[in-house]
Amino acid sequence: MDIKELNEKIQRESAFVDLIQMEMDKVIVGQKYMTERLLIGLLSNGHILLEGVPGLAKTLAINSLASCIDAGFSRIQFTPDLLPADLIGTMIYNQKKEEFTVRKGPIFSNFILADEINRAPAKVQSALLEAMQEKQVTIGDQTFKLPEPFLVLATQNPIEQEGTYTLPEAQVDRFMLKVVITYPNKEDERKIIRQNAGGVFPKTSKILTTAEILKSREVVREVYMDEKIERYIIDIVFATRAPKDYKLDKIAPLISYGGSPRASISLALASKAYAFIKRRGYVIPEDVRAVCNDVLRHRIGLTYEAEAENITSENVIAEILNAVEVP
Amino acid sequence: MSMEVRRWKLEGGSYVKLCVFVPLREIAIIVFLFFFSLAAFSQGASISAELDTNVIKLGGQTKLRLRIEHTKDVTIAFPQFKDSIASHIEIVEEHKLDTLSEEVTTFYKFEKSYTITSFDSGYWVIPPIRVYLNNDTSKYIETEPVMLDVKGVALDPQKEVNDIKEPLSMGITLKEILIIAGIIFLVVGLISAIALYWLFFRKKKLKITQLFQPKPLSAHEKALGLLDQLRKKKLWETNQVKLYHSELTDIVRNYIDERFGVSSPEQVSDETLAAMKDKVDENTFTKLKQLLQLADMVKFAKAEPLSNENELSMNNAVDFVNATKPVEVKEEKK
Repeated sequence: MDIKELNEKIQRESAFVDLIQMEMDKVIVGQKYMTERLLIGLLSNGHILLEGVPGLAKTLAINSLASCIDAGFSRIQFTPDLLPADLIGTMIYNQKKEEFTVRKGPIFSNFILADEINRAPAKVQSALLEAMQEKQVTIGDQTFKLPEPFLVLATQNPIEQEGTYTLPEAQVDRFMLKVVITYPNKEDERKIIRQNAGGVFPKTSKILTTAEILKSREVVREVYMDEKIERYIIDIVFATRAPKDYKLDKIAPLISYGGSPRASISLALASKAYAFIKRRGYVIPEDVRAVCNDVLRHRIGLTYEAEAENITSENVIAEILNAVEVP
Repeated sequence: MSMEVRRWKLEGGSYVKLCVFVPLREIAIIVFLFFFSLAAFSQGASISAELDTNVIKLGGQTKLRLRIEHTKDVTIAFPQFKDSIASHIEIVEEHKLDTLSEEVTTFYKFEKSYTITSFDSGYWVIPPIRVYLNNDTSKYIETEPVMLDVKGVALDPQKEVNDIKEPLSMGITLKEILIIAGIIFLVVGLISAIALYWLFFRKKKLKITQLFQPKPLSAHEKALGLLDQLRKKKLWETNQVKLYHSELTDIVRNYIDERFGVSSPEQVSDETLAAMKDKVDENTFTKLKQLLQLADMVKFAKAEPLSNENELSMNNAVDFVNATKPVEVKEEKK
């Protein structure tokens, strides 16, 4: 397809993005970054892990996004006594029929809010993460496909680490984005106070169907990505694995392992989705940079040396972006 | 005069017991040697062993002499000692074979001697030393055992124990001073010679390289030269528009890096533009923005600009470099 036609198509198809953002803005104040990332996940079929201290409207944001779309929504509060069967479902014995029947769990929904995912034990996390990857669940001897679209939005709290089960690196890699939510600024916080003090809580209206989301995903995949951008993405990911090849000797001792090929795929898809949100039919290096932190921060392993010096994966990514030549 | 019983162990396990009066110890030794030192002469050869002195102080030395006489038709093989003759008796030096007399027709007479010592006080026996004849292990002659009395150091337990004396300083002699001074003089002279040679050589080399080293180009000279080369390549005219814009922006970005210290090659266009906004005037900024944005469209969005747009980008790049190059201030002659 000609790039002009593609641009026009994307201009047309991405009109709903502004509508969703407007609806979300009605409910959530000052978290535009978070809503943008939720849309990236929604459009590029990638699960999202939200991390932030309590009270930053993580759960509300996911709730609001789900209510903007005419789709199923389940909220699962992860607790230490949660069992995999509570999540995916189980076989129940029906005394009348004298047979076992399947009772599907809350995972059979379009949007799953896995609240405080790190509070559940490893077996429950594994069950969820397996479902995220395979998009299907097996109960007894029957396998069930999960509905489309299927998006997991998990939250975790960086404080109160006692009694939590940290997600292993292999499982955290299944999340396309790890979004870190920070506090709103003073002006936004003033608006939040007024909104809550008034006692009137606006509600979002349904403006999108699941079919429209699936169609948008197809369009996102069509966004043009030049080979120069592909090389730029590869350079960034390779710099996390072999920093010395990019004259980044300084950060080499800080990285224990770099991004996987899944990181390159996620970076490419997220860049396309970001370009779509910006209503462009092609990806530019700015798009890659915009999503780079969210795609890579949970995929870079830091050494003890880095931790001792309070160096975060964001610092490492910043160094890489400053060193890798932009096409 | 007290009498004491002494016992000596012989090679082979047998013991010799003697009752001696202590003041007559030396006499007893002579008597002992008289009975046991028998010169042997059989099979055309004889050997005898004797010490220069049978009494030494602890760590003192004496010479053990082995005298051999043999007829012309007999060949002899001396025993090979490593570092000791027997336990408690060590060899300090093995001397060369000494010919005492040579009668060509009848006998050869030799002496083989060893300087020996001992660091253990007591009476020690030098066992019979065996010499083989005609390289036949069944035919041999051997000496009689010889006694060695090693005297210990007499200690007076009543006296105070003194520390070991420090080595005495001998002082430096004039000869030593002259040797040290000579070495210092040689080393300093050598270092000075090398340093002078190196300095001279380096200076000469620098002069040569300076002659052939071109004057480094300034950032704008380099950029303008590269832009001129790019223009001559006629890339967009030969349908290599993407390469043309890539090279064009690379030249401009590297120029910005060198001229303003803004790491433009590692920045996206928006970042470069944001960094340059306050550094150049509005007209120059607009020109930079045009060429970067058009290049992004060509590189990432398959844009196909018109010929005049391609030319405009080149002209804008040249104008940008000329507008931002450092101004040379010339002093007016009075």
